[in-house]
Amino acid sequence: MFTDRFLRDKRGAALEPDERAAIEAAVSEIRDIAARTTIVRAGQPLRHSTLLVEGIMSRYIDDREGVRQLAAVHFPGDFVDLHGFPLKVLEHDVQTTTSVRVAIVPHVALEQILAERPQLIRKLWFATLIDAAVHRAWLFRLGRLDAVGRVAHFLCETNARLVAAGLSDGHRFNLALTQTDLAEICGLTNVHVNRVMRQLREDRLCVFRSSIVEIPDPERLAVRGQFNPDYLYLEHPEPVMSPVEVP
Amino acid sequence: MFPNETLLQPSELPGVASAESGLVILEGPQGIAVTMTIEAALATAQSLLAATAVAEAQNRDDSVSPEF
Repeated sequence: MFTDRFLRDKRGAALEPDERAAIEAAVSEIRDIAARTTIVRAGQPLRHSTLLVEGIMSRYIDDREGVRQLAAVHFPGDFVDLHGFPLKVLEHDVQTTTSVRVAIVPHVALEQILAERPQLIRKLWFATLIDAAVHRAWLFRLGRLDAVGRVAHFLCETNARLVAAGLSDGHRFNLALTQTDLAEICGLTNVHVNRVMRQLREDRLCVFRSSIVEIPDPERLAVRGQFNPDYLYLEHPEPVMSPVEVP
Repeated sequence: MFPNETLLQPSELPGVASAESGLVILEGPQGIAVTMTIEAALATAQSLLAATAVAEAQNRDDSVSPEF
């Protein structure tokens, strides 16, 4: 099933079996794509949307000098460019961050769902609204938080999203992002990110090593990053985790 | 002046600069998080000092009204 993680643990938006079957039936193709491949260019006409099955993808905007700001990071279960269905073109680029497996859903198939399944369309709309909520949180992060706070906030958000997707136990998860990715997410230089990760490690808030993130005390990291998971609209918001020992 | 305490106010806390890998990192105030080369950091420091002198003069002659 390609849709196992789509809307998983989202408040009031869980897919009914027939709805899941409808989306599965709408998938025209499964593609495996190499890391760092741009799959959507800004302004390019779109005829399908992309459901991320495995791996990590990102949305980004480059400035005039080519310096990149990531505008979103997507994890398995995200319908990455669902908003491209009504918009037909995007104003930003979409790239694979790691190697990925994606399910392609042609817009003509979404048109059919639109005609036949208003409740399912409401859930697809819900998915794009969560994307918008995440964007607002990213604005807050970049506008109001210091460097450590920005990284702490992002790692808390990622932990919560991956818990919902069944890919984190709340303390430990795989995150195949580079230091440069973190810099482009948090609006920092590589040197600054390096400093921040060292500080988080020394403060025993987080260890990020060999693509594994370990968060001994998620509550303390959330306080440092001013993170509140309400904007993720989770059915079961991450419970307050007891601190654990991280070697 | 807008009587709204939630408006972003001029910071009374200083930024903190530190060195890392031959570069200068400026943290704060208010979410500032930049990395500068030594040359850029020196120019910033000089610009800050010059602007600070002007601001002090403005406060002395009370020439700037706080009202819009």
